[in-house]
Amino acid sequence: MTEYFTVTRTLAAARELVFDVLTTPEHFAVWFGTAAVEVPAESLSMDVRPGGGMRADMVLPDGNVIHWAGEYVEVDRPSHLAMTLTDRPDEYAGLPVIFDLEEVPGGTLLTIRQDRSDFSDEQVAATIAGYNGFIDDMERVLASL
Amino acid sequence: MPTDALSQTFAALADPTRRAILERLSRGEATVNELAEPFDMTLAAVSKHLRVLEHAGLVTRSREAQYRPAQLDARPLAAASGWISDYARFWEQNVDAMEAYLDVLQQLTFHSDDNDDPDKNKEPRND
Repeated sequence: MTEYFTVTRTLAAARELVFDVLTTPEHFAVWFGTAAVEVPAESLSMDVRPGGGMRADMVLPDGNVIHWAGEYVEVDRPSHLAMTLTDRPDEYAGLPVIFDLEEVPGGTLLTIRQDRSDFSDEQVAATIAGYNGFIDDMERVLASL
Repeated sequence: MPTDALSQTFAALADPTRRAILERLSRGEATVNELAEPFDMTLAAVSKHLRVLEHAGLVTRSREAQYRPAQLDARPLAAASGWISDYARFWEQNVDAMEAYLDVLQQLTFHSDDNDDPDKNKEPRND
């Protein structure tokens, strides 16, 4: 299994609350993208069920807007959530990001991960192709070297 | 000229034609002729792009078959995407923000339990 990344954190909150903070627009808009960005409520839609869509705009401090879009793949309240998420909504959304919530002493262990264990090289390549915007930025950086 | 593997991967990717070639190869192997079809390019130009991709380890070419079809090797892309895990940092920061928000949220809940419960100081009702 090749994991792209894993982020784990024990949060001092009940598992149901953590799940709701992940999946309810009123909560999600507050933390998503950190305090430095605005997520306007009118830009946010979350249809939290398998196959349901998610959209959110992220207004950066410099006024630029990132349009996020995704799809909920697996929803199992309050322990598990898998969703795609991309800032290139017109292209392949890539591999899902997986959220696992586990009750532990002191709160909830949240694990956020993305791995390629269930995906072919071709799907992984298509995911990378979805990072075209990022690669275009790299192109400019490389051109300036 | 960048020499480490990751720089070579990104240098190879930093061209729209080469990205299009990789996208085509992600659907299966192809000959130079087949790769040249969608582009207004000479076979020599396509071969040059293929050599860059081959040098970066993103493409392998059969030595046996007459037309030497090119095949995608996605392994360097996986390494690049690991690096792209800037994405990981994105989620780290999001979890930081989520943690801070949960703290505030629960503080508010405590306060409303302590102070804002309208029934708190009342006698139990008898109905």
